Amino acid sequence: MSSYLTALPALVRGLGTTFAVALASMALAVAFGFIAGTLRSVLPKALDLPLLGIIEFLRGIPLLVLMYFLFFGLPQLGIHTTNNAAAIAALALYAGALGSEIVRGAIVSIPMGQTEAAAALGLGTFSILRLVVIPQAIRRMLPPFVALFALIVESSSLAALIDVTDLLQAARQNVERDPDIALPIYLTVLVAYFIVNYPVSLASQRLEKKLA
Amino acid sequence: MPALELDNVCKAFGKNEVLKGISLSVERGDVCCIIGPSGSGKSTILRAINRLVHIDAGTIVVDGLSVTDPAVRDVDLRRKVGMVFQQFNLFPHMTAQENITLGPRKVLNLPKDEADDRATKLLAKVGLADKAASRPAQLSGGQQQRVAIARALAMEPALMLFDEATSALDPEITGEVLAVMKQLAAEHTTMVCVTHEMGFAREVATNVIFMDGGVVVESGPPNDFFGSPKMERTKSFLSKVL
Amino acid sequence: MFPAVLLAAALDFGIVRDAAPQLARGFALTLEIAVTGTIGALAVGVAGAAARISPSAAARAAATAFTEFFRNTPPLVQIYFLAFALPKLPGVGHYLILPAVVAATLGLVLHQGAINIEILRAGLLAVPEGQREAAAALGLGRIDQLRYVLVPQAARISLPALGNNVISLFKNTTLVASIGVLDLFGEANDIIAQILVSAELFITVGVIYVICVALLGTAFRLLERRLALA
Repeated sequence: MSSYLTALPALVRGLGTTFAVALASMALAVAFGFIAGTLRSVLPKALDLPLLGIIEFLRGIPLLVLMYFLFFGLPQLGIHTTNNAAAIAALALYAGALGSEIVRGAIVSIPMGQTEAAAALGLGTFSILRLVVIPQAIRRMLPPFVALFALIVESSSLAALIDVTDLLQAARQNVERDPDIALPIYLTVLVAYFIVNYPVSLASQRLEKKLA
Repeated sequence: MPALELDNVCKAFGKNEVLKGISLSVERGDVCCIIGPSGSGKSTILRAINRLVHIDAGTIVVDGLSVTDPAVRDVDLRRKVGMVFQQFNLFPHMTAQENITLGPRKVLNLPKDEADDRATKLLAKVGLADKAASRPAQLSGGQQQRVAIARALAMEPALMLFDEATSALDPEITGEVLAVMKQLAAEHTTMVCVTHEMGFAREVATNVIFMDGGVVVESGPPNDFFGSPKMERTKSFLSKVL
Repeated sequence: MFPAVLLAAALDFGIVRDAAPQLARGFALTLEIAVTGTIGALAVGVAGAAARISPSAAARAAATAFTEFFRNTPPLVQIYFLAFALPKLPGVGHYLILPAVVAATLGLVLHQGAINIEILRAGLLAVPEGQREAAAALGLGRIDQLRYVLVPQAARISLPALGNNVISLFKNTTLVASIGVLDLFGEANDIIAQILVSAELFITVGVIYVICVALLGTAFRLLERRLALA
């Protein structure tokens, strides 16, 4: 079991990388989500269609394929990335597409009466959004965004497959060196992900109830 | 042997004592109407009879089967007791025919054609022969409740329980359901009805029971009960609803 | 248009044409895993949801623990655990050396199954209590109540979420390639390892998945409409 113990520091470092990747992706996803979601809520159908197409594409393509394309495929077209960048980019694009649906859904759920009252006061479209609709919509976005973070953390494990030294990759490397520690190592990894995600998932559910 | 006998039945939900020693007896072929204000425990009595609710003390015997005896299986008890709910509770994903045949086929283990035959006859009996293939969503409230009555009758129970069967219906529609219930009474079906329909109780009941605050305040044949109520609470309740 | 032209110039989709037979084989395996996984996950979902509303506290606790653990941990890690950690269990490990396809499919079944449990539990809770009472009053036992009255209604209520989960599972079949299973993605990687050119294949494979997901989405919307009760 000593090789298990020597592996632990690497696992902890890997967990740190997992967090870094997840947080970076989340930040970008929220940004993309806000921009795309807000745009979609105001664009006329003709202009909305291409945006919808992109979002449906990002939601339909498996994350792994997207990640591999960004890391292995882009260099062929002259665009070189690091594995960290490719992983974060893939996660951000995928989660951003989901985020745009969260944002759009929340904005659309604010009763028309609010928009009408604001318009009657003479406010323009973006002012209405900025001052009246979005502040109210933010409350409704919170629970699904918290759940999205858990999904990002979970999905970030795919980064290991393009050699990002996250928690899973650290585990894989150590198991390769000593296959007999596969059981304790992977169990530890499962428990670590659980310890991170379960509270986040609970928080999302509790927020949902509180803000309903 | 009476069809139904309750002896000193008690039930509390948490700190709320809903039944405080209820005793009553219903002979075969009798119609017993239970009236009283909301929260008096009337519905709880019905639910205790078929074990949808478990009582804390006392005994209930249905057609010789003791409800409180754990050796008596739920299914054996419930075969003897048919229940019609205020909210109808028809199964929305099944047609009227399928709602009625579910019990006979899966509980009584009747073959399909026998069950279908029973359902057809019962639908005709409640005046809905042409609605066999309709889904509940396509039926009016009164029609749904009549299908619900047919569904309970399909099990050929010894005792029929009606839990405010017309309370959820528009006043114009209660008539069609009450007509079916009156017909059943005329055929000497043993019935226990929790109801607000005083006219119905007066016309059809063998015995009327007034409950308030978890106890039986007064009971008697309808003429005595409505004509000359003895207790103050009874008089006060009747003056409000009649 | 300009980037598209640029892309087209740098890429040779003839590679895809040559790879077609191998990709087709991989796709067949993807479908197999997806179908098996979906059926398995649904079975887990129904059994688990029933357990979570069971009168037995032990059943409820076990089902809740299972649900929370398997839906909050990454399916990729679950697959690795089943493939590499199980065989190392002292004593029984010997019998637990699963073929890669089995380990991978099982991982998907457990993860998406746990998600189904949560979806169906919510669906069951949304069925009005009167339905259970009416079924019980007719004399139906718990299992028959669930089978004929409660689950059919819960499934209709849960259909949109269940559909999303099926789509998730379909996309997650790509994970099986990580332990060497030659599904569509696995075959694509296999070819890429030999010819060292990847963009065309990833684009093609990506588009195939997107089309399948779109078809699945449409199929589920049609199903929802057909099964609607109102």
